[in-house]
Amino acid sequence: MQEENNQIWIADLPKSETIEFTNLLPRYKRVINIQWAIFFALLIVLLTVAYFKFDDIDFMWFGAALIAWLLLSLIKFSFIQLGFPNKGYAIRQRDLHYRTGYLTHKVISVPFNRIQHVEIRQGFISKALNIAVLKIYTAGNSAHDLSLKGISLEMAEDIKQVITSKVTQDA
Amino acid sequence: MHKHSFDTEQRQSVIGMLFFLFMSVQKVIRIFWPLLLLYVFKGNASKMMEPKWLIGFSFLVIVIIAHSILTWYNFYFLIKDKEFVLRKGYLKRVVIAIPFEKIVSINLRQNLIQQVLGVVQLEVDSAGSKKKEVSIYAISREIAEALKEQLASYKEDRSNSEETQANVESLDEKKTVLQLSFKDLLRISIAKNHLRGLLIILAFGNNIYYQLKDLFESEVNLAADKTESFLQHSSSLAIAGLIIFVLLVSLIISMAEVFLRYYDFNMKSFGNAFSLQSGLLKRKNITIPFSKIQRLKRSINPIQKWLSISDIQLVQANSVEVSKDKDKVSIPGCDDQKFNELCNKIYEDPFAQSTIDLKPHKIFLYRYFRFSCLLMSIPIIALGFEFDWVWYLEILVPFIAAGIAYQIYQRRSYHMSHDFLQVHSGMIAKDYSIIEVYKIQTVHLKRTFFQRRNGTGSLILGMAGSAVRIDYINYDEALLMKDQILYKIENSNKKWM
Repeated sequence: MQEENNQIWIADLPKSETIEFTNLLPRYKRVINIQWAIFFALLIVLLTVAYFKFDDIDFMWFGAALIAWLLLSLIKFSFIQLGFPNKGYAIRQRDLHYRTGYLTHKVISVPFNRIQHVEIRQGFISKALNIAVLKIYTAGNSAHDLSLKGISLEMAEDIKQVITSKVTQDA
Repeated sequence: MHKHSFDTEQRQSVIGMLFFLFMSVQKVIRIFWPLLLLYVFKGNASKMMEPKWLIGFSFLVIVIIAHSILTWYNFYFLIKDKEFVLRKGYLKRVVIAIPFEKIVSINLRQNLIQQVLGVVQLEVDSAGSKKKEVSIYAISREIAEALKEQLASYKEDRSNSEETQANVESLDEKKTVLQLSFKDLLRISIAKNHLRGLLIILAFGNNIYYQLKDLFESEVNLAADKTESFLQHSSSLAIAGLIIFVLLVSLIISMAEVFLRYYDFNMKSFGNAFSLQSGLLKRKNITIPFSKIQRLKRSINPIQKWLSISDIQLVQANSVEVSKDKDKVSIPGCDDQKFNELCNKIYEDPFAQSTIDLKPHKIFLYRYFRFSCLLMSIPIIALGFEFDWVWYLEILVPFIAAGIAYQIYQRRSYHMSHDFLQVHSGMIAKDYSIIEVYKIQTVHLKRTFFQRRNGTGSLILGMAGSAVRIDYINYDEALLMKDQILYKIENSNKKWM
């Protein structure tokens, strides 16, 4: 009975290479830029305050901190601009994909029949620019859950509708 | 009972405002109490009456009140299209929707404040990760009961059928799967990782020494003098004795641990579930339905291999609030035969299906080599500033790192069949995991800059209670694997929990 009968990959499956990703809204890039700008602005304020508050900090250290701040913000902002075109999402009949990352490319895939519940979030800045986050919860580790960022609120509602209908249909 | 309708958005009871107020006040006090304490104890309390403090204080009060009212005002709940929907937040808007069939349980709760205000908190548990957020904090008991009833109505027929099923199962004959005798427990204790026992000795050793010294000051001194002269005479013998002593004590500690946890270990199977009983002082009693098992892990360290036993762990899917301890059930002292028996009970023919066998790419080896070199070098370099001779140990580092990396690489392999995925890993101990493919929840495909250059990728398979990593496999194979896994999940109607 022990003939050579090795398993092979199942052929003719829907291929994930053929997935067409939709880019995120360009104005979402503005949201990220603003968020990080606020972060770096706060950082520089903190640095300056610390320098003038404590007299015994050498100017050299302050300068070094400034250079580090400059480099860090430069790297962060260039990564945001460079990485943005790579961000995108795709919805197939039975699953949802989100692609992100500049240095490390990540694709997260969640089948609809494993979704537990969905959440729509809107932060302060995103609300002004009509951007929403669709958070998708599965029973897996929360570190591996999917947040679909950078879509309009209407789109988020639509996708949520799709997911909900699929989830109930399956059950 | 009066039938309430939840078809339209509604707020919590008006008194709920007070609840949010209390909660915010509590939060603020929790943050600022050290500051308050400082002021009171420094005798600066009178300073608090100064205008600038009063203004600041009243500002804080206004903010708190505004925050509670806004939180209450912007908190809605309703039932729509067989979904329980929560809308909340005023600065940050959050909409949560839970389909009825994903609801695991509905709890009504009251803390002290809620009792005083006469309101109830309704918590909806789903199998998702962040369930704390899905609760309504302040509604009247009447509404809460009505809401609970409506939410539960859908679930009811399903849980009823499950219950009858469980009843039928319990009629089945219980078969003993594994029982551990005194001898088994001894073997398990010997094969335990004694490092922990050693650490306990180190931590408490000093302490015990000083306590003994206090008790028998003169005797200890005498004994110490004697041992000192003894040490001078025969140091090698003394060191050997010390090693034996430490080993013995760590063995005793491990033994105590094992006996406390696994005394009279008794594992039975009935129908589609296991029941487990064990423990010396506190008897633990666990029932695990097969369907809830998300992952079976097995680990064999060298001593266990010598004694031909292994540790098995069953990772369960549970609602997150259950402690981690309960999610993972360990079954110690299984030999190969018992392991096969267990696997065949839980899964249908797990080893009969032929598999696609994958190894990580060679790059994986270099990665671990670099990583272990770095990890070992750090303490050596740091210690080297104290003792010069330690630096010479650095010569050994590449060799040891190469050995470690090679061992990890050798052990690591992935085996994919139609319904199962098996992962071999480990360094000193041999680790093994088997999962059912359809129980995977999410699939991550990751490629770092370097992985893109050498055509590899890593898959991270999110499961309830754990994640399985398929590191550094060929990118094309990773894609094939991902497609097949998604296909398997999407075309399975089996309950994964």
